Amino acid sequence: MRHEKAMQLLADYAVGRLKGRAKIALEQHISECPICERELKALQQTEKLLRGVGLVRPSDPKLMLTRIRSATTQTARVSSRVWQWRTFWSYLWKPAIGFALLALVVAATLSIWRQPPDHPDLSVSYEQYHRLVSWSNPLGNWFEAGLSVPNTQP
Amino acid sequence: MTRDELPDSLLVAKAKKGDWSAFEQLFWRYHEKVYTFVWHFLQSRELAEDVTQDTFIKAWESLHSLKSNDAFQAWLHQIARRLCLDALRKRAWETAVSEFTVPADQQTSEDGEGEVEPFLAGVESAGSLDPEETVIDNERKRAVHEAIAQLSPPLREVVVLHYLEGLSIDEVAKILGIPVGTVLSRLARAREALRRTLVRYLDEIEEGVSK
Repeated sequence: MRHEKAMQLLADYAVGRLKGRAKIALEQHISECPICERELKALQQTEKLLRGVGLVRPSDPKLMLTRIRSATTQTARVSSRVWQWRTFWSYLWKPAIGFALLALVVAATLSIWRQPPDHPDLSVSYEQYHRLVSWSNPLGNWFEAGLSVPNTQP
Repeated sequence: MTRDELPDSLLVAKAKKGDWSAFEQLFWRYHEKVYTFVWHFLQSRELAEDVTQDTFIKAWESLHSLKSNDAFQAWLHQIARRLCLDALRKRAWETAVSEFTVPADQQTSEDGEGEVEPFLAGVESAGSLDPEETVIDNERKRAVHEAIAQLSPPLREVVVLHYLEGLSIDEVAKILGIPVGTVLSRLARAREALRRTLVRYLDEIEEGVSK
């Protein structure tokens, strides 16, 4: 493996990202190259340095906890009401969607099954005719009927 | 088994039933981790304290939405990260507005951005060290935190989560919502950048090992 390529791969190797042939080739190169060996050592020491740095403390965690407690108590009443609605809808949304889908299926089935006559039956009244048609296409015919009423009035 | 030793999943289950003391236990377990993450994200002590506080408030309020009780830590960090992004957006907006409304010579850095001293007040030092060693230790810690602060945000996130908080690569990937390979490549890039910045301290470690 060329030295430049090995230098590029060192960081990946140090975090255990390198696998297979590339890893073996790099390990072989490191064993022969003092510069890469030193570089790898430096990367490992960086990790050591980082792990030793530790966490940062907030200035007053007790005060922070008190504020959290107070904020959560204040919102408790509001959130419980919201929670009740959430619980209510969490149980209801599935049946509601199911019912809506069922209604759509029934409407679609009816509109296919009960096609309206091409020409209105003149023996029935206008209102009776549209009542029949509305069963055939419940989603569209009431609207259509509403539009055509003014045009058919004497 | 004392309460301190209880696993997260049990404490979360208790907290979900409204047990405040269980949640308090979770706070003491994770507040430093969350604060460290948030501080490095925002680089402002005051803002970091507010966001850490908001993170726990949000966690308590939406605890019922946590499906796997074992995943509390990752979930908490996800909340913190979202709040950090909101805070950054808000700060960017306020800065933009103040640039229009406040004359340039009156503008001050109120949130302490770029200040290292106040942040260092929270850096723990080992109690057993003598004063001279404590100064050196603090100086080293300060240098490391400064070096981390100079990294780009994506690299900084993975360094803080993996090295400072000790989370596994898988956990980091889960929190950030990125593949494991991306976490590893970011870690590699970050470590390379930090090695260049911290070369002086690495030499000190080298000397310490050889002594």
